Amino acid sequence: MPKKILVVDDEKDMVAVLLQRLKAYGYEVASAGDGEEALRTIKKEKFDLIILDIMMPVMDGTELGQILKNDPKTKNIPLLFLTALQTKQEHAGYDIVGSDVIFAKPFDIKELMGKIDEFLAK
Amino acid sequence: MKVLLIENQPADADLARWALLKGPYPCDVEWVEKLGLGLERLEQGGIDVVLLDLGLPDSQGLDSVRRVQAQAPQVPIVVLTGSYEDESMAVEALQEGAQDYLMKDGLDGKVLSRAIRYAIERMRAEMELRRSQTELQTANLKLEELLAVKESFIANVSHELRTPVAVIKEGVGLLLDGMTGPLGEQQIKFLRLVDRNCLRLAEFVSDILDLSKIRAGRMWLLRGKIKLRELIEEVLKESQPLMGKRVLRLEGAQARAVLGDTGKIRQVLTNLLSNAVKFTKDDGAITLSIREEGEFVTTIVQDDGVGIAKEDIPKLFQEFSQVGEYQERGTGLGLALCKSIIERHKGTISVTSEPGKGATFTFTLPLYTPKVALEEAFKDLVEESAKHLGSSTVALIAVDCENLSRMEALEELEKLLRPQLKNGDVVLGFDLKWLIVLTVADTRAVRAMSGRIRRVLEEWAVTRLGARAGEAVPIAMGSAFYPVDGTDDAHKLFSIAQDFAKPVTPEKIEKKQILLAEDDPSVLEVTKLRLEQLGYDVLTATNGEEVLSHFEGHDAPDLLLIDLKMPKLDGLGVVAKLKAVPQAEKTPIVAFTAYGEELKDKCLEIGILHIVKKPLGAGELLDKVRQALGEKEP
Repeated sequence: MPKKILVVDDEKDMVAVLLQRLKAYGYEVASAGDGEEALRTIKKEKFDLIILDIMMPVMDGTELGQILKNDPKTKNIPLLFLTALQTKQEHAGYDIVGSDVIFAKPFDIKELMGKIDEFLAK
Repeated sequence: MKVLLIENQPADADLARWALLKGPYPCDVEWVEKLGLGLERLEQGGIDVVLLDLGLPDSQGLDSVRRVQAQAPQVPIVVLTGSYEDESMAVEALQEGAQDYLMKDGLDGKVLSRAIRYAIERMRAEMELRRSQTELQTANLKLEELLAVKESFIANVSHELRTPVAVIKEGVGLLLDGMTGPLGEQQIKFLRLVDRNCLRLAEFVSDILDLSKIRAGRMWLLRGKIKLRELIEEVLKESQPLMGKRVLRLEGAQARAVLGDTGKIRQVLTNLLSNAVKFTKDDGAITLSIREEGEFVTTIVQDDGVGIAKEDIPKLFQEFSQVGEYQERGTGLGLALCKSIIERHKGTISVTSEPGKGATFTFTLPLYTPKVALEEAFKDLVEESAKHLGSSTVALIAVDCENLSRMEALEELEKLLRPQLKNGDVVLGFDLKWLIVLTVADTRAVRAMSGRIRRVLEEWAVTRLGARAGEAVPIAMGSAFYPVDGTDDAHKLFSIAQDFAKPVTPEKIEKKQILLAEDDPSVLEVTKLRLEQLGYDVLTATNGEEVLSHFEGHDAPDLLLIDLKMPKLDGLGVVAKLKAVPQAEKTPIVAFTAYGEELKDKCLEIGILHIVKKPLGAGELLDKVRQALGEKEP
């Protein structure tokens, strides 16, 4: 069964280019424009991986991440964060733990896809 | 000039007035006998100078000077002093702010007039000076504000650029990777052009952000050991394709490791090298050398290219300076960034050059010592913790590997520990015997990480050393916390962690349970962590009621460790109440208190046999707990 990926980002263009590539790689995709929409979508469908932008209005990526981690139904879904901030260290205060990963924009698409493959292979 | 004479001796007053009238400058003299009257007159205004006698009936000495100044701060004071003894007071009056003092005997018209005129002039000059200073301060503040606005603007714009650049890059990527259908040659050619320029844009934005962060002191350096010679060899290998036929030399023996951020230093080397390549001819020569000089390692990048004009050299390390041949194509940031990076590493960077004779860039980096590495990493984390809202702790976790017989063990453990850390945490090897982990988080998160680390060590002990459950292993682990442990000296914290270090013991099947009652949350977390590290299961209570409720529904804990001073129900009261609860009968109690002997009797009365004084020292805590539980020394 093909793996399902959710892309959460308020930048419509970013969502468009990511979805195009993910589909071409054979994944099933869905998107949400903000944290609340994402939560609604996650309630209805099951996802194998979630890509989320950190800087979003209303509910930012790390908040969404915390909510997902605290819910037993979603806490094992690997999360991949995107940020415009310089380095991972700037997010040290957000306590993103364990195997979750942050990519700084503009990212190397090959690296990103590689990480996705890694997560989904487990 | 309008003169106010405050003098209570009529004879002296006459002398002064007569001297003034006889003097070369026209004066209007008003005379009062008491300070109070003088102050009233001053309030009306219009006085140019005050002649003040220090021995007045309603005020004495320096007090008079102060009160006149308070009343009329812009009016100069000339103090009149009557006899030999008064001179020291007169000098003090000068320090208090009087402009001059004169002896009453032999008051000369000319001298008096001159003194008064000079006093007025000096006062004017002082006022002028104060005004200029205030103006300067205001201008400075304004400048600082503007600088902050500029930096913030640059950073904001740069951040904003990153998302559109990412989108463009990905959009072009999709096209080039054939994900939208086949492309013709021309299309590929120009799409590649767009892609390349996207990359340049992205690098430029990165450089600007790097620079602005370094300048704001906010650049995070991941400091570690750098073997410079190896790093240089790496960079040289990577730059091979650019070299052409140029001759490359690397000189200098293997120097000791330096303390620094490998990524950032690589940036510096790449930058200097690419400059050297750009500005030497195809058959030119580039020489890199390193050598140890005192506490630093010096690296030199020398080329025999075009060289730099003398007037251009000072501008070289400034950002955006387009300096002759050495300008960065387009960005003008490279050398400014290098300078910022090196200086942030507490090193220096400089250049010497002559037109036509090439250029020599020199930079220094401090030698790596575990001591300095520990201090710097700790400082970085303290800074980081200060940025967190709410309570945040910097924890130093020390893992004692001295008794492990294998050298590689330290490296293995380091590799094992890294994935347990979160972004920004540091692990350092110290003195070949210790691994030190530094982390910043709130105390709860620290406790969670500490637990993970201990489990990793336990597992490693079981799988690699064949340790059995319940057996202590030759690895010990202890922690110290800033600010709870009361010091911001990294080495002192390390000592404290060493004191608290206890052997790692793979899971005992049956753990004794301790109920810890303490109202200060930081002390609670730290004590809980330490007890857990010692191998106990810990329940907590933050007030007397919670303590009592623990005995009501649950199996009684094996030990009660209670702070005697808590809100809601004082410690002694709780214990007294407990003695009436049948389930609590068998539970030994260890009380801790900051108070001394006074409470000891009270404690013994209610049956608290063990008392520990706050702050809890490592050995004491463990000893008393073991004693109370009837455990033997292992």
